Amino acid sequence: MFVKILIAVTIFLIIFLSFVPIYWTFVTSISLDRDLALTSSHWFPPSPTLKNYVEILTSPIRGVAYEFRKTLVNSTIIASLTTVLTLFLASFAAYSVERLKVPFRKTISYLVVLTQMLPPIILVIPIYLLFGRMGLLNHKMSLVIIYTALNLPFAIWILSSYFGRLPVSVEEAAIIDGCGYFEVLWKIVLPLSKPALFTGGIFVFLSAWNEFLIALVLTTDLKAKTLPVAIAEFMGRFRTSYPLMCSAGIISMIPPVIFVVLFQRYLIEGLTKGAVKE
Amino acid sequence: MEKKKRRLGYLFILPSLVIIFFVLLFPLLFALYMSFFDVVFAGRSMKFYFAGFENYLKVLKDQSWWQSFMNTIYFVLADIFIGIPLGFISALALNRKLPLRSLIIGIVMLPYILPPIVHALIWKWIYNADYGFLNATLFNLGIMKETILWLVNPKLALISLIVANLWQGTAFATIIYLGGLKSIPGEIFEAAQIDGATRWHITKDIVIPLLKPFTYLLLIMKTILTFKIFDLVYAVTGGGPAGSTKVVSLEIYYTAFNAFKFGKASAMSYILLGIVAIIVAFYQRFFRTEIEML
Repeated sequence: MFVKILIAVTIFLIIFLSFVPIYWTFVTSISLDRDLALTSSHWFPPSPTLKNYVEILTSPIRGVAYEFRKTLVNSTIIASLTTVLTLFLASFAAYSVERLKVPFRKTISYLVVLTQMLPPIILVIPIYLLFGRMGLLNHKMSLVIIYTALNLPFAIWILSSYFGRLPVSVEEAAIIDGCGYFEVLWKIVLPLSKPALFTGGIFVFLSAWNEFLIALVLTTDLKAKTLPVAIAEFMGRFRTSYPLMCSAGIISMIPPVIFVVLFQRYLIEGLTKGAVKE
Repeated sequence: MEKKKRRLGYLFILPSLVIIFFVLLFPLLFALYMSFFDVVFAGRSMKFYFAGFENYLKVLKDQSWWQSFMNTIYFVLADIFIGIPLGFISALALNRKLPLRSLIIGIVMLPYILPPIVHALIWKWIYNADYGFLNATLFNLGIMKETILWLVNPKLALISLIVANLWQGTAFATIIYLGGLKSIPGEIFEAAQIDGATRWHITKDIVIPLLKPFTYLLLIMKTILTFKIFDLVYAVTGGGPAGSTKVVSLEIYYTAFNAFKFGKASAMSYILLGIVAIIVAFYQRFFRTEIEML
C-alpha cells in the first residue's frame, strides 16, 4: 500500500514538473501585459485573451509580429525541404549500401557517430568563412544543404537497417522480370519502408526545425532567418512583451507537439534508435 | 552483371557522399588547418600567417577558457549524477499500465523535443525577477519575503541554468530507460516474484544490471550532448553575469564572431573535440563488456 502511494506520488510529480513550465508559458501567452503579476500568482490570467496570438499572426505593423511570420515561413520551408532532400538522397544511398554491395557500411556508421558527437560550433566557423567566400551566406538553401549533410548519415543508417529486414525475394523476382534497380527501389522497396521513412522524416524535420546555432551564424536578415533565431532576438531586446513572446514560443512548439500526439511511436523509435546507434 | 550492379551502387551513394564531404569533412579539415594560423582580415580577403601551436598554447593559458570549461563540466556532472538517476526513477514509475499512458509519456517527452530556444525562453521567463513564476510561487507559499534575482547573482545564475538544463536532460534519460525496460521480458519478473523476490530486490538485482547497457549509453550521450550546450546559455544569460555562466561553445562563439580570432577559435574547437573524444574513449575502456552487449 505504502509503495503504491509512493509510486502514484512519483508519477504525479513527474507529470507536474514536466508540464508546469509549458503550462505556464501557455497561460502567459493568453494574458494581457498588465495582468502578468496576477497570472503569476494565480496560475491563471484574470481575463484570458487570444489577443497576443491575433497580434503575432496578423499585425500589419513591421516589428516583432512581422519578423515572426516571416521566420515562421522560412523555418517551415527549410525544415520541409531538408526532410524531403535528406530522405530522397538517403533512400538511394541506403539501397546502395544494403543491396548493391557498395562497401560503405562502416563509413556510414562512423559518420553517424561523428555527426552525433560533433559540437556544431566547430563546424559553423569554417562553414561561415567558406560559404561567405562563395556568397552563400543568408540563403535558405544553404541551411537546407547543411542540415541535410548533418542528418544524412543517420537517415541512411535508419533506412538501410530497415531495408535489410525486407525479404530480398520480391526484389529479385522483379529484377528477373526486367525491372531496373531504380524501379525496384522506387516501386517496391520504398512503399514497403513507410515506417522507416516516417521515423527518419520526423527526426530530420525536428532537428532542422529546432536547430539554432548554425542558423544564428549563417543568416543575417529576414530572407533566410529561422524562427529560433527570431525568438532569441526577441528575448534579447530591452523591452519585450512576455505574453507576445510566449505566444511565439507556443506556436513554434506546434510541430513537436503534433509529432508527440500523433506519431509518438515513431518518435520514440527514432530517439532510442539514434541513441542506441551511439 | 555484378560489376554493373556495383557501378550503379556507387552512383546511388555518390550524391550523399559529395554533400557530406563538402559540408562536413572539408570544413572540419579547414578548421584544423586554421587552428595553426593567425587569420587576419585585410579588407575583403583573409590572410593566413603560420603560427604553429601558438593558438593552442594561448587557449591553454586563457583563464576565461578554463572558466568556461569548468562551467561546462558542472553541467555535464549534474546531468550524469542527477539527470540519469532521476530519469531511471521516472522510467520505473511510468513503466506500468496507466490510464492515458501515451498522453503522459508525451508530456514527459516534451521537454526533450521542444525547440531548445523555446526551452530557453520558458526558463528565462520562469526566473524573471519581477513577474516570474518561481518568485511568484515562492512568495505565495510564504517561503520567501523578497524577490530573488535568479539570473543576477553569479553563483545562483549558474545553478539556475543547470536546473533548467536538467529539466530537459531528465526527460531524455526517462525516454531511453523506458525503451530499456520495454526490452526486458516480463517472464523474468514473474519468475522472480514466484521465487518470492521483493520489489526492491528485483530492481536492484535484475533491473539495474539488465539496464546497464542503457546506462552506459546515457553516460556517453549525456557527456557528448551536454558538452555541446549553447542555445540555453546564449539565450538566457549570454554567459553573464561577468562570464559566470559561460560554457565552452559560447566561449568559442564569442572568440570567433565577436573578437574575430578565427585561428584561436578553431584551436578551441579542436581542444573541445579532443576532450570529448578522450572521455568517450575512457568510457569505452571502462565499460567494454556493456558495449559488446549492445
